[in-house]
Amino acid sequence: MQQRSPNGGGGLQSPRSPSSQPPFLSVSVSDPAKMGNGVQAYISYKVTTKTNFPEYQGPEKIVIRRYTDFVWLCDRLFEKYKGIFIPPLPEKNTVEKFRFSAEFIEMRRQALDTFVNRIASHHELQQSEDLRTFLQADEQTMERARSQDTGIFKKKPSDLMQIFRDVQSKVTDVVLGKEKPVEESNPEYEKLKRYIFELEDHLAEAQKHAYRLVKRHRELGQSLGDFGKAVKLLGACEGDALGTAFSELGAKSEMLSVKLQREAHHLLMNFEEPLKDYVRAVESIKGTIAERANAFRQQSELAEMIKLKEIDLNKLRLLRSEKMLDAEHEYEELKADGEEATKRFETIVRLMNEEIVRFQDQKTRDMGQAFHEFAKGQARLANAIADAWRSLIPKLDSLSVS
Amino acid sequence: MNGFEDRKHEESDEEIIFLLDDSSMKSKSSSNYKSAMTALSDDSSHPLSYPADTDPLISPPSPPPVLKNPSSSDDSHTDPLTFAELDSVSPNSNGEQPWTAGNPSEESDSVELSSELPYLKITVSNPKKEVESSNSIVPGGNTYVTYLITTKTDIPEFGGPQFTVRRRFKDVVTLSDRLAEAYRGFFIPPRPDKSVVESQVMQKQEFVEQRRVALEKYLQRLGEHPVISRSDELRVFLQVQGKLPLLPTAAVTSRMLDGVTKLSKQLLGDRSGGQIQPQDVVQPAKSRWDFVRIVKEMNQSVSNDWGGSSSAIYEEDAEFLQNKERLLNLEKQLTNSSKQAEIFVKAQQDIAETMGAFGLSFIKLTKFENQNAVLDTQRKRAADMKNLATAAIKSSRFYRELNSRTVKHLDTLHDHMGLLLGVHTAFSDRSSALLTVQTLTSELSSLYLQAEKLETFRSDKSKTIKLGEVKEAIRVTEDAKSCATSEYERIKGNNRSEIERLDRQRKEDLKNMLKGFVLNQVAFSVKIGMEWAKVAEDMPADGC
Repeated sequence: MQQRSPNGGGGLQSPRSPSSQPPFLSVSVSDPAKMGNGVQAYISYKVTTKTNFPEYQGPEKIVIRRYTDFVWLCDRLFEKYKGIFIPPLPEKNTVEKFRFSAEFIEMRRQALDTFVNRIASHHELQQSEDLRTFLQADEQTMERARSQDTGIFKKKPSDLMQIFRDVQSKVTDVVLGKEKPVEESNPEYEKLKRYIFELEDHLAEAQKHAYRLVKRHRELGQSLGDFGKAVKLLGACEGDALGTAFSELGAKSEMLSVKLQREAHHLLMNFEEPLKDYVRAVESIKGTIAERANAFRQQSELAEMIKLKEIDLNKLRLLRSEKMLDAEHEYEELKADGEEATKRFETIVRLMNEEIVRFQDQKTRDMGQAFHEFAKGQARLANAIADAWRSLIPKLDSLSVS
Repeated sequence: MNGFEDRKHEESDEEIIFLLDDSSMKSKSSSNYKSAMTALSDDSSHPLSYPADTDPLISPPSPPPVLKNPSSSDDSHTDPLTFAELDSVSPNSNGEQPWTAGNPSEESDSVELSSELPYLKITVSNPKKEVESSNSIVPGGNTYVTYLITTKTDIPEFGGPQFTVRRRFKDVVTLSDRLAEAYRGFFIPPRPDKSVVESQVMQKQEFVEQRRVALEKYLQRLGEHPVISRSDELRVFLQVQGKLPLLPTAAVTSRMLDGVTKLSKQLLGDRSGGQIQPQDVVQPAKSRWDFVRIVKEMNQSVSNDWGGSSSAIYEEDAEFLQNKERLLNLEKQLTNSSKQAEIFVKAQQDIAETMGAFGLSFIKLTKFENQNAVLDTQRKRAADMKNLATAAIKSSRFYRELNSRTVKHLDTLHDHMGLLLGVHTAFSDRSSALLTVQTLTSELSSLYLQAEKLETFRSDKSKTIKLGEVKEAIRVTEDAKSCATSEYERIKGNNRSEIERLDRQRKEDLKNMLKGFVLNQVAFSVKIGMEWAKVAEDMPADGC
């Protein structure tokens, strides 16, 4: 469980005074447990909240949640906080079969923990009512909330992915100059969109190689272990000092094999997973881009409609038609809608500008951490290998004497 | 701005080209152990690896400054080891570097090719298609491939430091057969297969190349054998220009026919031709006169395999049986170790390649972030990525270099596995020699029995004549038996000295293999560790 320092407005670390503690909200996701049997089986997680926020019940609360609950929270936030880059969730389905294992569960738990903590430390998102529900509601309330959504919002993960795909094709089309729908003509924003889409490609490739590297470590470990076993048998056959040397070589090989497997795991959890998280984050941004495009389109459409309505209204005024009053009424409504749409759009723009800075900042830190772990792990491994083999040198040298 | 970007573009393109070369190397690797290993060891031309002259089998790589031990948590050393200290760890009283194996002053200590052994190096190259000149029914004639065989030696009998000759595969088969006949009991390295099937299936070029490599290995091994390298057969093969003046081994059938004629002459009392020399008897029956013996020995040889129990021969030499058992087991373990070594080497190669590709993908990311950087955080991230990528590419190079050396060392396992194959022939030479002795012994006893019976009928004139003949047969067979016995003893002696020689050589080679393997692993792991330690230091844990 990590205590993330909240950034922005809500929860600056002020010097401690005896009377007031700085507001904090800290969450941890732990203790995955398999529930149910067969096709219905799923994993449940313990979600522990520690906080002094007034809106929350008490200093500590523990609830049990499953993956779909997290998805619900993500969808709600996405709906309500347009313009903000909602932290990404780990994938629902896995393609690689081998990941249905303790390792997969641990990776998912870690990703879910990161997810909730990022929400809890975001100055706006942490105020969310849905978050409060998620962190505190009993299971029945949670289930009810979950099932309500499927009717009203229809924002299943698959739908979310569809939006991303639509956005991708729309934006790509625009970037490629194929289509000219109603789009912002903001060169800086264009640049940002292009950046996000290309970034995703580069990151996906890097992540692919990172994953392969994990596999290579495992393979090297496995083959070294097998080599060690074979060499031990050879040593038994040779006998005498040479035989002993071989069996020591074999023993070291087997030991290093274990270290390699461990390093593979470390690489997976502390490097490849953060890289994947980065990829997911970029995908989430694409969703926000889609929302912004939607908002812009709505605003433009309404602006169009208002213009047309104005023309209509003037016509009716001249004709002194009895429909004029209704038309006036509609016109006023449209104008109100238009103002709202404009406000929504401008909020998204403002938020996105802030979010981009926050995102870049966070990613530089996250990646710096990941790189450090990578380098540390590689150094540790290389040194362990050097140490192990080095310890054999005196024995091998004494062999020549015979 | 443009110029700067272009330069960066070049940099990363260079890297891309290097790694494209890498992927073309991958497509060359085949499932054939030999070519996979040698393809890897040809790595010295790979742009991402070090220049070929820094082969630590000859000289150590340039030592870096004093090593740091960054991961102090599991650091059990008190002093960091420099490369110089690494070398002085050797208990050699004269303090010489243990791994400057090519260093002549050190040779006598740890290297198998000490200055005492004569130098004989054989290379096979330049395959050429040639046409069968005579007796071609098919227009255009039969084509075959010849190989250029170059020998460099200081052995005086060869009378020259370097010479070449062109030979075809059939010539190699002839050489191999003649050696097998002449050097019974010796561990003669087996020749490359005829592989008729492969020659049809594989691409011609691939097949010729595979064969060239195999021939080189075979001839080189012959050259390394202390007795065979001095043989007339080998010398003639390596030196005499034009047609190979060794008779190809006659087919069994023609020999048999030859033998049958001689036997029938003998039975008809024809003394004119067919004087049988005792030493002729000594060859396995399938090459000589006794048709009956041919049949007998054929029946026996079916059950005389390397690992099986031969009920016909009574092998009483317990030491021999022990050795046989031991060498059988050794062959199995060497085969297994060699296989596992191959898999390990492939894994090392894979991690080198993946690390390189991984580094490259981050170089691309770096370039991308720099091109699109709006914020300082992006530039910082790009700088971090570049650090990581550079270290990854460097360590990829190190892994590659380490691997090409590992290949050379672990190849020893494969080599000795091959040498042990020669043992099969040597032991079956022994078995068949023993069989000959025992067959002759039993023949003798039946002849004696015959003679005894005939003795009692002295009065009968026809029986007296018969007795004379039998006595003559006894005399001949006694001579043959004593020849066969001394041949058997000779082969036994060869076996024994060969086993000793092989054991000695193998132990020596394996010692060097272990040393070389371990030292290289240490050296390169240290280098790789240092690269990463630097990166970890430059990018502290809090990510700032």
